[in-house]
Amino acid sequence: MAIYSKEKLMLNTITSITIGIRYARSFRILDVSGEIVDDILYSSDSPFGVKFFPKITEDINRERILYNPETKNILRINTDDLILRIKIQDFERDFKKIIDDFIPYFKDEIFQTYKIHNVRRFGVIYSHSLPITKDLNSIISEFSKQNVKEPNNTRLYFSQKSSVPEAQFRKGLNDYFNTIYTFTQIEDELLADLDFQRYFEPNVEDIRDSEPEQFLEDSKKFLTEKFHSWLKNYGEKTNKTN
Amino acid sequence: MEKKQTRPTKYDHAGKSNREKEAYSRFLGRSDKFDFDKTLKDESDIVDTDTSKVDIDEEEEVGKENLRPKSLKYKTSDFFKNNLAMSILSGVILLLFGLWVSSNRELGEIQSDLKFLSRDIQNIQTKYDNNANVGNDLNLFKVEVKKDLESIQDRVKKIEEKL
Repeated sequence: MAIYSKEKLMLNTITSITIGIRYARSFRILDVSGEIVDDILYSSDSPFGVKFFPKITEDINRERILYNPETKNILRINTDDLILRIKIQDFERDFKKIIDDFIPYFKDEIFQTYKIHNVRRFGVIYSHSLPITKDLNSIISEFSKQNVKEPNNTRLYFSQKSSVPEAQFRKGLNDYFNTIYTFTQIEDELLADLDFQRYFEPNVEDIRDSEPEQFLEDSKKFLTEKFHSWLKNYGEKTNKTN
Repeated sequence: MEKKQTRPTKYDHAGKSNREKEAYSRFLGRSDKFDFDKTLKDESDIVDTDTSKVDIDEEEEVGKENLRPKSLKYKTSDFFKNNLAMSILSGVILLLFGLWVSSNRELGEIQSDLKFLSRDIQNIQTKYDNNANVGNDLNLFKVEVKKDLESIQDRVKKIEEKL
């Protein structure tokens, strides 16, 4: 029961989830991105709609960006990626919504209707907000041989690749997981991002064959069993300080 | 012409050789700048808005990417989805053909039954005719017996008168 509470406490520190789907670069997407945006905003099949994304903009690279200035929810679509970031209020509820509503909509509607093929990578970022810690500063202090003792702002990131079980034995399949850990200490907050990615080597022609829901379940398992197992030390500090 | 590598499906069961396994392990242990390619770039990473610059490292060869083809399951479902009218028409034709084959078979069975019935009716007719002959013979027998009885009665009467 205590473990469950700690786990829940860590899940409560998650402020947003970002999902990214990278496909083979296609400039055709720039031509149909307007239609895609219309579909997302006005289609009856869309789980989003104009209330979810009341604002739209286009950047200099013709990337279409839908966003909500209040919730900070954002959806970007360009020649390489479709990226969705949503603010988390209740982790379990919002995660379920991603798996049950958002992913099937992208997978079965957007990617099929607008013929977006050749998936190269899935990525999901779990962003946490934790109280400041001196541990990061001590790393900087040690690394700089005590020359920088108390940096004002700190960012540390590192990555690690790991094998996909299937790829260890199946010929011609070289998929792998890549995890990027990012820690940013700014003002009185420690922002901890876990960016869990799966690279498809070779690419997957049809997104439905790549089972994005399973990828998200794998990422959640990694988050709770691997990442939170050591990040909870800082989460516990949250409990004490609050 | 370089052959395009296709992605194995879950139905392919060929295993990696030891050399391939080693290569995969070496790859996982190797450092690569793309390992820091985040799912969503940090806002602070997007500082250079000069699009006239081309990042050579970002260039990629087009059409050379490896690919796993769409699975048969989705190929089939998409085909029927994209060719709805043809699928319905084909379905109707198949249904009609099925009905035609089925009705032909049933007609054959009925014809066969009719043949048997016809044969049975003929047999019954023959038996009936035979029975009719027996009836005639019986009537004749009755008449003869009646005549004999009448003759016997006459004789009995005559004998009684004499007495």
